[in-house]
Amino acid sequence: MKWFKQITIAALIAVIGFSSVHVADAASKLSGKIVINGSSALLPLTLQAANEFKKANPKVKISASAAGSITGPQAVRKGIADIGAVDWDATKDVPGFKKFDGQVAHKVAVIPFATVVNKNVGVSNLTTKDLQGIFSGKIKNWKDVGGKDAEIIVVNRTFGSGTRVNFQDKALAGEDFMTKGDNYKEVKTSGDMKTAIETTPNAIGYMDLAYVTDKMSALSVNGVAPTEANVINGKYKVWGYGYYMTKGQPTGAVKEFIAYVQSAKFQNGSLKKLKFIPISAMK
Amino acid sequence: MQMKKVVVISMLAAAIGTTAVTPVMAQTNAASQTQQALQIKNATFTVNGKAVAIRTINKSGTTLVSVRDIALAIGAEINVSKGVIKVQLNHKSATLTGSAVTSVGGNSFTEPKALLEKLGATYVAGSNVVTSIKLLADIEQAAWINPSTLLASKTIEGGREDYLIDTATGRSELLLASSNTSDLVISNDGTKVAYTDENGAVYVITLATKQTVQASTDNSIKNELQWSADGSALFFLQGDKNSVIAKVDLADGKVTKVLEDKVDYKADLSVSSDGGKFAFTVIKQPKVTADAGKDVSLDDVAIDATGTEPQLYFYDAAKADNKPVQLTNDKTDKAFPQISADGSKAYFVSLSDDANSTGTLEVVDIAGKTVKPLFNEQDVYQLAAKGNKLYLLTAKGEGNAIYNIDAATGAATLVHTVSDGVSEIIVSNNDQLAAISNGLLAVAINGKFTTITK
Repeated sequence: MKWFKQITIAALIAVIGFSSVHVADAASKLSGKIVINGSSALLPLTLQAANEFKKANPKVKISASAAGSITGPQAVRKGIADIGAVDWDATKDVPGFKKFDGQVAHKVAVIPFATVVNKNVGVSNLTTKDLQGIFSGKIKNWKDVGGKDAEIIVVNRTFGSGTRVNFQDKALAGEDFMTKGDNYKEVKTSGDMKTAIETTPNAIGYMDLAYVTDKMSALSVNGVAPTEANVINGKYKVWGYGYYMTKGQPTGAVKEFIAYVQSAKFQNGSLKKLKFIPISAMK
Repeated sequence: MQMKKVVVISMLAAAIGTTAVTPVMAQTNAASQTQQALQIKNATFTVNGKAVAIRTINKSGTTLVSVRDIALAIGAEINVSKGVIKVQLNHKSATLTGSAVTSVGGNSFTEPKALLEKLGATYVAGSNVVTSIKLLADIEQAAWINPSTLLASKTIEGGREDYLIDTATGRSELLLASSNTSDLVISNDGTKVAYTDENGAVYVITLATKQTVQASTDNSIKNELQWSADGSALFFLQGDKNSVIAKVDLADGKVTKVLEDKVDYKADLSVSSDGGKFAFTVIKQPKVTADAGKDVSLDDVAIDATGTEPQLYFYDAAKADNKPVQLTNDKTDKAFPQISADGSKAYFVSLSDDANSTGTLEVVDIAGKTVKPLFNEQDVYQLAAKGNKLYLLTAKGEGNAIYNIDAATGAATLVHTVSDGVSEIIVSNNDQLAAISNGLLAVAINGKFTTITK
């Protein structure tokens, strides 16, 4: 093992017998380029991790973009991205999407999802059956679920959204969404959903819990509030894992970057600050 | 010196004396069977990082040390009763009897390794290094607090521990054990550290008293905390997308926005001494084209990263126009950006896409928006800057090197040649250096690095 050339005896002694090498320490000359694409929900997490990772590994270039979860594993399969960020395990079939053969799913975060409504909607709780009725278009008025007499405006994410896949699977128990109608609209991103819910009276939609603002209301589902604690204790069911998909097992800089995102330092630090839940919390 | 039947010696109060080489006769403690001419010599041991004179004898090729001297050096107590020597350090003790002790001229000598290991200390023969302080292990990052203290942090299950480490001895003291908190940032005068929790609340620890106060209850996401030079405020990047440069006043906890230009994903915030000028990078996202209406199996997705390289920006808060100035416009990565103390210059390490290219230190004249290389003699791995003090970790031959760069002239002075295991250098306000290599923290004292963690 090499060490300081201008070394004291004490330093020499300290080195002897200490042979383990920390990934971060050994990686200062790690180089390469990592292209990440996919989930818009995971983009803030990815960019924060990239910023921190690059401080220890400045020769690694990281480019991250988001256009919806499905474009993550698509870009990996096409060979134009090293990591596909996606809000479901894309090695398995989910409603609307076949599995991606040959890809490996790496859990990086727990993402709670919330049912949200405009501030003018006087409802604080909906059952799974209520949600199935509203998002399929069968329930059209808030008075039918305990609210005032007003037509419900359903805001949905476009096909390919990981948030949509999770909401359909966990909140609607797999029931289909409505796809058209006067009181139905689709938005492309989480940011667009936020704007739509905040500014559209009588609107209902869904988003990452992290995106919920004080200009909207997050609803309880089956009497359980969408909180981090209720996700961890198993009472709140509308959540999913965020994954990084790779073509086969990752190597080099990609492997080290994923390891950093999964590290206790990042999971307990920046990841929680960004309102995600560490994957270890669900064990 | 004659040992009394029961003698308790405060080793810390005793003195180390003999310097002359003294030929004497020796005898074992058990009896005076074998006598041979032995010389007591003074050897220099390194005990907890300090050079200490220890009397030794060489008996049949084995070096024995003065029990009294070695106990004194590590702060142990000696208790002698009925010819049995008991040495105690903290809660561990060693008993020396019979042939384990050789008496020379009234002084007791013993083989050091067995004695020290029983006391929980370590000893490596040949180099005469003794460590009785439990050194901190597995630290991941460090920063200077003052000339004699480093702040070092390690990840533990469920959180992080932050320690104060005495640079002379390696003795450590736990400052904070926490979960869900940001890294600690040290005020310029080294008297306080600050951090945020998962809810965005800001806390400040006064190091002299170890008292923590919650300085702000504002719950916005705060990244990259930076102390103002006078310690009255903290600057940070606000929001999940680091869109805003903001400031929290520590007197009242109020948060004010410094720059709100609706540009997301700022990073590498750096603040001038007067707290009025800022440098930072902006990370742009590639443009993704995908048609959700097409069959997924067609993989109809394209990523265009043209023009998304990070660029360096400058903002003068006095202008209050929310219009930062773009300082760079090239395709390189900009690592370790740092604004000068007066806000007139910025420095960064430029890294190109070319695998064969090397990192160079660049300086930006902010008024003229001109960029020129300041150091390109070696491949630059890291810029460690404190105000106008610039140090570089670079490649050099098969190892690494540490250079000091004169910010005014660009003159480079080779400070240390180190191994290629060195991954990070840490510089203090008064030019002290520390380094991390393979998980070990070392400090430069009198031109040489000494490890203070294990």
